[in-house]
Amino acid sequence: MSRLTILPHLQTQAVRPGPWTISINEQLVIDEVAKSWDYETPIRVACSVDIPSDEIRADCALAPSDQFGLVVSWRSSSTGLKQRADVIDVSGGGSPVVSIDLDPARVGGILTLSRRLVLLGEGRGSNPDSPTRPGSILWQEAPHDSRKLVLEGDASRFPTEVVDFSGGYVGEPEAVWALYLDTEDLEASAMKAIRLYVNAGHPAVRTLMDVGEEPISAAIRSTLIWDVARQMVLAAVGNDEFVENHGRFSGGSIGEVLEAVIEQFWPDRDILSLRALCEQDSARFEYELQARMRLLEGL
Amino acid sequence: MAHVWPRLPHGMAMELLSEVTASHLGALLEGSGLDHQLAAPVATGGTPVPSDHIEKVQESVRGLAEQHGWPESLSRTSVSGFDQPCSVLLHDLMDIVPADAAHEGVWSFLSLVVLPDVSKWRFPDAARDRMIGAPRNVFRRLWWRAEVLGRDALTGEHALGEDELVQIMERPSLSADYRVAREIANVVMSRAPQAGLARSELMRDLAKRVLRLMPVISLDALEDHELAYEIETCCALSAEQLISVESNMGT
Repeated sequence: MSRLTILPHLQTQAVRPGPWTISINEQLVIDEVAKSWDYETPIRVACSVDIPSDEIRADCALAPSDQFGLVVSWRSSSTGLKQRADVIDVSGGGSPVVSIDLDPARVGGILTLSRRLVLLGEGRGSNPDSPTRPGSILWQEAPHDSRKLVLEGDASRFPTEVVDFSGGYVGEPEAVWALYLDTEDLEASAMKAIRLYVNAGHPAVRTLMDVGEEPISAAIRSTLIWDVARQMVLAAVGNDEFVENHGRFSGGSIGEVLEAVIEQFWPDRDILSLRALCEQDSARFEYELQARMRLLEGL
Repeated sequence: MAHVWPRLPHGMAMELLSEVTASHLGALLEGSGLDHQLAAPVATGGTPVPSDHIEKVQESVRGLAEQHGWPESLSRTSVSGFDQPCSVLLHDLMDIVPADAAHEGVWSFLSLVVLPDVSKWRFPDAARDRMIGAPRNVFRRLWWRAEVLGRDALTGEHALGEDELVQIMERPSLSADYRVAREIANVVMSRAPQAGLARSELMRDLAKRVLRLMPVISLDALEDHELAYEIETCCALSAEQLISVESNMGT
C-alpha cells in the first residue's frame, strides 16, 4: 500500500509540478549523481509548478480571500538538515518558477528536494473541512516523486561497519554478520538506530571482498541482504508501536526506514495483514520474502 | 573560512578503540596527538585545519575537563556541568561546517587521537558508539546541540537538561529545522515551573505532539509568530494532559 496521511482538512491534487533543474557550479546536472561537488561548490535548484488556483480553491473549499503559498525545500541525508526557499504567494495561480541557492556547507549525502502548497494566514472557508490553520498543507509531492541527488563521495548508504569479531566488541568470531536494530524509539534517527557489522575475520567475508564478481560472492551478498531485510521486517511487524503508527513516521527516522523496507516488498499488503501473515502463516511469509527479494537469483 | 578536519578511517578507529578501552587516563593523555598517519581531511572543499588550531581545541577541552575534576570520576549529577559548556566551546572553537561535522571520521579523530583522555573520562566504559564518531559520539552530539539549538539552550539558569536535549536532538524531524528546534527549546525553557509537572516529561510529550502536527501543518512555512503560537499551544496541551494524568493518579 502507498504511504497515506489522512489530513483533518480538504486537500487538492490539482497542482502540477514541473521538472527540476539542478546546476552545480553553473553546470547542469542531468544524472542522479553529482560527481564534481564539494563543500565550497554552490548548488542551485529551480523548478516551475502549475497552480490552477480556481481548482485548488474549489477542492479545498477556500474562501475567496484565502491565500496560499508554494514551499520548496531540501533535506540532506548526511547533515540531517532541511531548509526552504522563501514561501511564494501563488494565490493568483499561474506557473511560478522558484529557485534556491543551497549553502553547500550544510548539505551532503543524498539531497532530497520537495514541494508543498500551504495555507498562508488563517483560512476562512465556510465548509467544516476547509483548512483554517496557517501552514495547513493543501498539497504535497509524494515522497517517491521528490527529486533526489546523490552528492558523490558523500552519500550515506546502509550504515555498515566491517570489523573483526574476534575483538569481542560485536559478536562471536564465528558469526558472519550482526545487525543491531534499536526500535525502542521509532522516531529516532535511522543512522543511529541501525548498524550492520560484518565480520572481517570470517572467510566468507574475505571471499566477498576478494572476489567481488564471482558467483560465490553474489550468493553471500544475496543472503546477507535477505537476512537483513528479514530481520528488519520481523522487528517492525512485531512492534505494536510501529503497527499503530504505520504511515506516520518522520523522514529519516528508523520507523520510516522500516516502512520503506516493507513497502518495497509488500506494496500490496497493509501492515495488519502482513503482521497476520507473520503470525499465522510463517512459511508463506518466508517464501514470499525470498521470492520478492529474488534470493540467490541468477546463480 | 571554515576548516576541514582530518577523518580517521573506521578500521583504524576500531583499533584505537581497543587501546582506549585497555588504557588508563594517564596513558591516554600521554599517547594523544594532533595528527595520525591515516587521518586526512577531505581532499577538496576547504582549508585543512592547522595543527595549532587542533591544539587549541585540545587544550580548551582539557582545561574544561580539569575544571570538572579530571581525572577523578565525573558524577552523574555533574555530567551536564561539563557537557553544556563543552558544547559551546567545541562549536565556537572547531570552526567546522555542518557538512564536515556530519562525518564519522572527524569525530573518531577528535575522540580517539586528540582527546582520548577526556573521551574515556566522560564515558568510562568507552562504549563503541561514544568513541567512534557515530551520531552519539562524545563530542559529535555536543557540537550538533550547539549548532542546532544555539548557546541559549545550553547555558544559563534555564538551560535544557540531558533528557530534554535528547528529545529534540534524537528526533530527526525536529532537529532538522533550526527554527522549530529552537522554538521548542525556548517554549520549554521559558515556562514557569508548575507543581507536579517535570520539565523533562513536558518536553517528551511536547516533542511527540509536535511530530504529530507536522504532517498536517508545514511548520517551516510559518512566520515566526505563527510558529511560536503553534508550539506554545502544543506545550499548553501537553502540560494540561500531564497534570490531568498526575492528578488522576493521586486520587
